[in-house]
Amino acid sequence: MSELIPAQQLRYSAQLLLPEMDERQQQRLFASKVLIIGLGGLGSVVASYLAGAGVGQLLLADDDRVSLSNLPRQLLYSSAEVGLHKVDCAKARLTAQNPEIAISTLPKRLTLAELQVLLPEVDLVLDCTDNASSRLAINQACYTQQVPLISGAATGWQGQLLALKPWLGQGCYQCLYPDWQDSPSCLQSGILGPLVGMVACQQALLALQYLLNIGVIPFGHLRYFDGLQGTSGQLQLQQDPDCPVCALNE
Amino acid sequence: MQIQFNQQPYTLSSPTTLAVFLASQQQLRAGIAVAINQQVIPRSHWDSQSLQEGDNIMLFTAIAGG
Repeated sequence: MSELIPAQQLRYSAQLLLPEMDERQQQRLFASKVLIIGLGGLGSVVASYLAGAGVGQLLLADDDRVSLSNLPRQLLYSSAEVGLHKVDCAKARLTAQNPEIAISTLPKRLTLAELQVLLPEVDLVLDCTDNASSRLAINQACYTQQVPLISGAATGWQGQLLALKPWLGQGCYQCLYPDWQDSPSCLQSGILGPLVGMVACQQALLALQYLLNIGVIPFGHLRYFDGLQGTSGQLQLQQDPDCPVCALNE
Repeated sequence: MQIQFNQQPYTLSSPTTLAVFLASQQQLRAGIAVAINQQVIPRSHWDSQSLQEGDNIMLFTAIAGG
């Protein structure tokens, strides 16, 4: 394992000052590979913090293109990029932010079969998607491939954050919302940028903590926020013995 | 019997289950999760889960926005 060069010591100097960090820990981040699915209000913030911290390989998946209504909260994109693929704009911006990391792009909505193929090569999955079917497919693939999942969601004034190792029998996304068909999108329910940013920041923080093996990751718990009332809390999940994903397969 | 539902106090006149209580509140619908005392109650337990004095019931709606 090579030592950090002076420019890297300077770039990462603030995070290296933390007592839980050292050059070996920074090398752990360089050696990590994270799949970020969805590059909207959550994914654009998450990707920026992970790229900035020096997570060595980012895999970005989104089939969407930048639209004007994205710009108040999707901080990676500019007005000049409306109509372009989000993954391409994100890669350009993140590479400018940190040219040391490798970024791969997948301009598509990943199917369950594609996720199953992709997951064995990543350390962590960050679900930043905007629809129930993607979320449940990601949960299922993370169960099968035994890859940890940190899932964020934000609509209206509500934020939810779920950290899962669904193969451990502590419950999964499917146990939590077994009959979930779909929910209103941000365009239908409204959203204010900082609310989704707040969830994304927690998601990025937990992701870095997981990769560094520091702190307390609330696996098997749901964190919730109400941005209007300023309330938050944490619930413990329980496996549903009837769950078709994580219980009945065993 | 006194319980809390979504931060509001409720008085139950007779013992009841979570499923019956949610139905009485017109809340038995798809895409929700329910926690009692900060523990999520799996859907398959709603019919058998009886409510106890002092239970704090919270209902969460699934959200997908990203």
